[in-house]
Order: sequence, then C-alpha cells, then structure tokens
Amino acid sequence: MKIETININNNINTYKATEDTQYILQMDTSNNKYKSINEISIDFILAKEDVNLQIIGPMIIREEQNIKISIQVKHMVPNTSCEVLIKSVIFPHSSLDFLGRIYIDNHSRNTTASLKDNSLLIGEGARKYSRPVLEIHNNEVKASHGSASGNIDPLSLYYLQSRGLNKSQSENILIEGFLDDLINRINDRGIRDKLIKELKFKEKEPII
Amino acid sequence: MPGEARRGLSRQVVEEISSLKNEPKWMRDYRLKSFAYFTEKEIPDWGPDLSKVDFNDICYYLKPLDKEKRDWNEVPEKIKKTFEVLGIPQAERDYLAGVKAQYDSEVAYSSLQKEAEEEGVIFLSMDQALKKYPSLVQEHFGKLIPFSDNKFSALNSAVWSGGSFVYIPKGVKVKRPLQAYFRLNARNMGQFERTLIIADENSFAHYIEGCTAPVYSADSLHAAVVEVYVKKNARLRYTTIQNWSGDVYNLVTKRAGVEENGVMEWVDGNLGSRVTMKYPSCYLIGKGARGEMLSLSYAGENQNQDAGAKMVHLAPNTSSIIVSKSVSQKGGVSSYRGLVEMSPIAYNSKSHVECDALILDSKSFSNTYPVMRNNNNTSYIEHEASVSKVSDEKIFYLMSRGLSKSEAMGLIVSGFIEPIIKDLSMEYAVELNNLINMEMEGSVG
Repeated sequence: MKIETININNNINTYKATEDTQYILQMDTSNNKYKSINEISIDFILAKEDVNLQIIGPMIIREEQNIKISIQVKHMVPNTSCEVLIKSVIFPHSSLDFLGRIYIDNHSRNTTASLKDNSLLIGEGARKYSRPVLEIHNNEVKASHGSASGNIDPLSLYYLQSRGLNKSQSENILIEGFLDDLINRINDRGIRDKLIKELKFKEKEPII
Repeated sequence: MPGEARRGLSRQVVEEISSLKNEPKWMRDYRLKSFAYFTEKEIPDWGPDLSKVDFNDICYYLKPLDKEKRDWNEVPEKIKKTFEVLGIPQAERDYLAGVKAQYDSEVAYSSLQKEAEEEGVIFLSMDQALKKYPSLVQEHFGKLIPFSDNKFSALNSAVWSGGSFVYIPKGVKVKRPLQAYFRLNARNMGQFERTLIIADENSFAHYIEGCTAPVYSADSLHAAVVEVYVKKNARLRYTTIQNWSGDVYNLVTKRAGVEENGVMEWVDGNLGSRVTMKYPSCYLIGKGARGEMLSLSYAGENQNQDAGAKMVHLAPNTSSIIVSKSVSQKGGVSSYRGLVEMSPIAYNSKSHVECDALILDSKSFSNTYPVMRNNNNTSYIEHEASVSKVSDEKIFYLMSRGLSKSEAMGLIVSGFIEPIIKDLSMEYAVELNNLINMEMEGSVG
C-alpha cells in the first residue's frame, strides 16, 4: 500500500487515487498555526476500480486553537473501498469542526465505506462539532459511520490514580491509549515513531 | 359563491378565516403578523425540492361540504388493494379515499371523549379550546414554535384550522391512548392543523394521530404545527403514522419543551406523501429531562422522505436517544437529518443516535445528515449510522426454508424495523407489517 502524508493547511486539496493508498493527515505543529480562522478542505476521488483507501487523522488541538476541516470521499466507480479514521484530542478552549462526507454515486456497486470520528474533550471549554454525512445512490454497498465525543472516562482515571499515578500522568496515559489503535494502523514506521514522540506529553505538563 | 373553492392567499383571506371563526383579537393579530412574515421569508435552500409548491393554488379555508370529492372509480387500484390488505371497513374506505366528505365517527369519538373527561382530561379541537379556555391557550400558543421559526410555521400560524388541544391535569395518568383519528372529518383534518398538548406536572398520556391506511387528500400542501409542553416529572408519548396518498407536500414543525425530569417520546412513521420534511424536536430545558425519538420512514416510487429529529440539551443531567430506520425502494429517496446539541451548561448529559437505512434497489437513494455540537466536555454524544441492502445470503436462506422471495424480503424488512414496531400499539404494528409485505410483493421483479 502506498503511503502519502497530507499537511493540514488552509487550502483545498484534491487527491485522485489510482492505487491502494494510506493517507496520513499531519497537523502543522508550528506555534498558533490554527489560531486564526481556517477552513481546510480535503477531497478524495475514487475514479479507478479496485482501489482501496485508508485515511488516518490523529489530531491534537490545544492552546486555544480552532480547526474547521472537511473531508470528502467520492466513490465514482465500482469495487472500491475507503476507511476514514479520525481521532482528536481537544484541550480547553480549543475546538474542532469536522465534516466527513462519503458520497457513493449511482455506478459504484460493491463499495465499502466507513468513517469513524472520535474526540476526547479534555477540560472546560473544549468543543466539538461533527457532521458525518452519507449520500448513497447505489444499493450494492456497505456504508457506515460513527462519531463520538466526550471526556476521559472518570472511572479509568480514578483507577490509574489509585495505582499511584498523579492526575496528569493518568490523563496522559489514557490519551495515549485513545490514540493508540490509530497510530498502530500507520504503515510507515518513521511517521509512526515521529507521531508517538510528538504525542508524548512531558510528564509534569499540566493538562487542565 | 357557495360550493366554489376559493384559492390563493392574501391578508383578506386571513382576516376572513379569523372572523368566520369568531376569534379573539389577539389571535387575529397573531395571524396577521404571521402572514406578513410568511410573505417575506424564503423557502429553505436545503432538503427536497419545494419549487413546485404553488401557494396561490391552494384553498386555505373550506367548509366541509365544499371539499372536493371523487368517484370510487377514480381511486387508484393500489389504494383499494391496501384497504383490502388492512381490512378497513367499507364506510371508512369511502372517507379515506376521498369519496365521502365526512366520516361519521361521532359515535366512536364521543365515547373516547367521555372516558377522557372522566379523568379530567381536556381533549378538544383547537378551535373549541380557543373559545372555552382562552387564557390557557394564550399562555402556551406559539411560545414553543413562534411564527417566525420557518416559512411553514408562519403559514400555519396565519391560516391554521383544526387540530387538537389536550390538557392533562397534574398527577393524572391517562389509561387509554388519546386517539386523534376518530376526530377526523373534513373540517378538522389535514392541511393546516394546529395541535397544542400540555402535560401538567406528574401526568402521563399517549396521544396518537394518523393511520396506516392511505388517506386521500385533495390538498397538495400540509403544514401542521405541533407544540407539546411536558412539565415537571410528566411524561408524554406522541405517535404519528402518516400515510398521505397522492402528491402531498407534508411539511411539519413539531417541538416539545421538557421540564425537570420530564420525558418526551416521539414515535414517527412516515409512509406516504410525495415530500415529507419533519424533524420532531425536544428542547430539554429542565435538569434531568429526557427526549426520545423513534422514527420509521418508507420511501417508495416518487417519494422523498426527509425526516429526523432534534435534541437540544439546555440543562444538566439530560439525556436523549434517537433511533431512525428507513427503507427506500423504486427510486425513493430517504434522508435522515438530525441535530444533537449540548449547550455549555448541559453538564453530565448524554445522547445516543442510531440511524440505519435499507436500500432495496440501485434506483433508490439514502442520505444521512447528522449534526452534533458538543459544547460541554462532561457530556457524551455518540452517533452511528449504516446503509446497506438486504443480503443475498439471508434471502437465499429464507427461500431455502420455503418462503417465496417477496415473503423473505418482507420478513427481513419487518425484522429491520422491529425496534420501532415493538413500541407501537398492536393494531398499528399488525397493519404496518401487512403494508410492508404488500410493498415487498411489488419490489421483486
């Protein structure tokens, strides 16, 4: 499977895949990149048969930044599949506005499409807007999506603290756990390691 | 001229409606304000195509006998067949098919009314309630759904006629469902019904309107408004089964305001109409309030069902659940459109949404447009949706057990919609299953 990284920036990007590809969304970690109003749009078009896409997007939004992003996958031919996996961790007074649209046109029989968009809202003022959209015009398909948002499970947090970790350490572990399955899906070791390093929160770094 | 149907809408028509009904000044003024707003507001630029609705080609107020009637011969075969399948008695068939202008339901209606009265429940037509309980009506009318909410609530607020008024006193738990069906007759039915339900503290009632049988309507536009007040610790269930036949545009605004620990349950079946746009909503205003929505849509040939729900959490410890099932075939379009919003003060609240769609052939469409806005980090929103067809293996298996292909399809679709059906009263459940089986016969070509 081909691997391609996509930088989340303030443009409209269109990708027409001609072979099985894993796209990895990467946030710009330079300071305050997402402080001003932004609208990011990324379109994926499947116009060639027998192509499978994976779109993986780990997102950490902090320091009062706000991201508005739309991801669209358009299936125009038969026998294609897509899997969109977006997991975001949103810190106090930051927000994510996510539109994830899967469009399957009339000709696209034997399509499999799924979209998952899960967010952790850490602390007061964290906000998530989500619009997962399905537009299906063929019946020989399997299409599904799921979206969830909420805080870290209080019971898990309590458990870790009862084992001797302080609150900030416990939260870090649970956040890493939340993103774990997403990161393990990334096929490129280099990118994976880089991400793990970026996501490793300094031990005493206060979260809230 | 008597007998001649007057078409078109104007300020004068609105004034006439109000004076014919002998209404108090505040209602007349309300209608006129609504009419002014209606003329300014545009039709929505989202959803099904509404460009063919001609507001000038509609009769906005008719006496019962002026309503158009048709010959039994003109009634489409499919409708006659549906009546057979559902076992509808002949007198009802004449009325439902538009052959008779009036349904003599007085007997059924008055005994239901008596039962309700004995429990202290007020169950009247909206017109009667305005006369008999003017202050109660004025206190609640248009407060949940102001005329300015959307173009069609403005239209309804200007020309409303008919509909129900229900008041359930404190602590009363109504034993039998309140059936609006038997109150139907041409004067009260359809077009611009206005319903207001008030469930006072600690009360419970189940209100049912509509029926599974296809109901003929000469009117092309139905724009009803339903406001429901669920007060502290009260519970109200509102079931609608809609099966308007013909080219009806069914554009309805329904909203419930739920106070502390109150529960509102919407059960919505959309089977008929050319276009339906309906998003019953719950505004969870008091802490601990709960909203539930069970929605079933069937979109067949030339139908566009655009339905869903809105749950707005405005207080802590509130919860909501939306379960939506839709089936589309023969080119039908079925869309779920919903909103779940947690306001910044909706602490410790949860919402769960499931939408499943079955597309039965490649001519048909299924769309899901959910919106989730979580503004409180202590609250949880979860949403899942799936779209699929009936799997060939399942059909094959059932056929290998001796069922015909259409029986197999019918069984699978019934199973698909079962979570909604099991919450309907038995008569509806049986009728719905019969209807589904009938539709399946046509789908296997």
